[in-house]
Amino acid sequence: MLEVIWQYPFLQRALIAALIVGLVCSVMGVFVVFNRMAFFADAVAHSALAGIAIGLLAGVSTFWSAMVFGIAVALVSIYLKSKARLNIDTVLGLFLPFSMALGILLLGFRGNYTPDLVSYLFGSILSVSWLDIVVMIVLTIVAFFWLRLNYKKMLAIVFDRDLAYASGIKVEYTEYVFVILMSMIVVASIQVVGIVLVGGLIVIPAATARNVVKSFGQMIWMSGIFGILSGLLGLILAYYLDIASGSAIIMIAMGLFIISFIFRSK
Amino acid sequence: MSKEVLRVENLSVCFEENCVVDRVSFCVEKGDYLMILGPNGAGKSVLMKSLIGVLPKRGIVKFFGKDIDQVRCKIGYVPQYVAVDRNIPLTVSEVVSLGFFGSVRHDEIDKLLKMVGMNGAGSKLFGTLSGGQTKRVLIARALAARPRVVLLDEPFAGIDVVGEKSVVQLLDDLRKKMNLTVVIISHDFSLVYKSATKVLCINKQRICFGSPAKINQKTIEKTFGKDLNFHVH
Repeated sequence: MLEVIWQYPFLQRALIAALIVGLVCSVMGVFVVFNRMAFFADAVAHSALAGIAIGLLAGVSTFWSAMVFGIAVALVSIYLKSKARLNIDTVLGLFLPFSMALGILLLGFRGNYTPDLVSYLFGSILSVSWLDIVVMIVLTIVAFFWLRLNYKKMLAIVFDRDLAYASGIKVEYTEYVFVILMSMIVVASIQVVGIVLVGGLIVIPAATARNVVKSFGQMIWMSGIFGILSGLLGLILAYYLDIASGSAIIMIAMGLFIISFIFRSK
Repeated sequence: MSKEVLRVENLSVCFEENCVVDRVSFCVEKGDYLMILGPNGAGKSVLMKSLIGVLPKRGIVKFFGKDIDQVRCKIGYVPQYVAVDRNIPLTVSEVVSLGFFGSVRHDEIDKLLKMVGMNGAGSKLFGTLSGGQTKRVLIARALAARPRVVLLDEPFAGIDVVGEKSVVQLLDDLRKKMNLTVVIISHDFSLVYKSATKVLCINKQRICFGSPAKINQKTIEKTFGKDLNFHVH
């Protein structure tokens, strides 16, 4: 693969995209997992389908329409969590099927033309453009910069919300910013791993890291490393076996989890 | 300079129509050890959470004559329990570091852990600690910002008698060493006579407030109900 990667720009872009998405999803995923929001990525990703359908119907960029719809769903979910006395899993359970159903319904209005649903559902990493790469890099830099500034606040919220409030942290505001960032990351990652599998790239590396670390700080680093490894090895696997890259990335991530679990159990 | 640390006037905390705390007033001065007594469901924890701004409230709460947002670094809070998932690999040092306002000083973390009798435990996982050790770490976290007043919500809940005595001793030592004002919720009457300078009995409303000498069978009955006997040892 290494010898051909220099010949084909689409492979270079695929590799860069897999590494960036692997890194940013897995690092931010640590806070998703420990805020008990494992279904969050799935709900946002599925809501992106409705956003894509709206974009297709309106004749605007499906990327941006998916992002706007994904962010809207994420914000409404967090709002409902605090106002409707429902836990976050229940709220996300409302939006996941609703968004998917809305997306399929709206796509039906397109008549005979059916967009390539499979590529949205399972990703199409080889069609990633340089503009997509730039968007992913900018998003990653913004997300990591924000996390660097707000790491202690996020850790305090994970530890105990009441204590975070008592320390003067604006818990809701911090959460809203976090879910907006996460929604953007999830939507940007859909092209790489697809709507159905993006949740795995957020949850699995964090769960794998938990098996091998001795502190929360280490967990951020290790989750990032497992995310990058999943992206890199997944793409290599997809290339040699000629299989869908999204599936290959998740297979590698799961393989790493199983290995880490076996080592932890010993 | 005013000695007033905390002034509470007509504090009410209501959830829809149900007022869990109803027009409670009291004040705490520098060096005081205020013990809040009351049966389960009396609103003690709700009262404390409203004092530190976690729950919405009506009435006046002033710390050092100011709103809490202006003086948070002067206030330490130890909750009864923390909602943290015990599987999260948070080390004791990471938990204590959450108590600092601004930059974290790692040498200070070691000092704090030594102060609460957890010397060398910084790299231990918080989720693996016993009840008593957990309380000690939470106290260290609350003291990280060098507060002038510490509010503790049932610090003896969930720990055995030996652990309880050691935490009582620890609080007495810290109070003297750091010149702390303490506000504590506890069911342990013996504390009233050993350490407290003031007592607040509540059962939704204020039953009594003042020196521990004000506690007698009548106030205890009024607070806890008629079946409880009060003995001073």
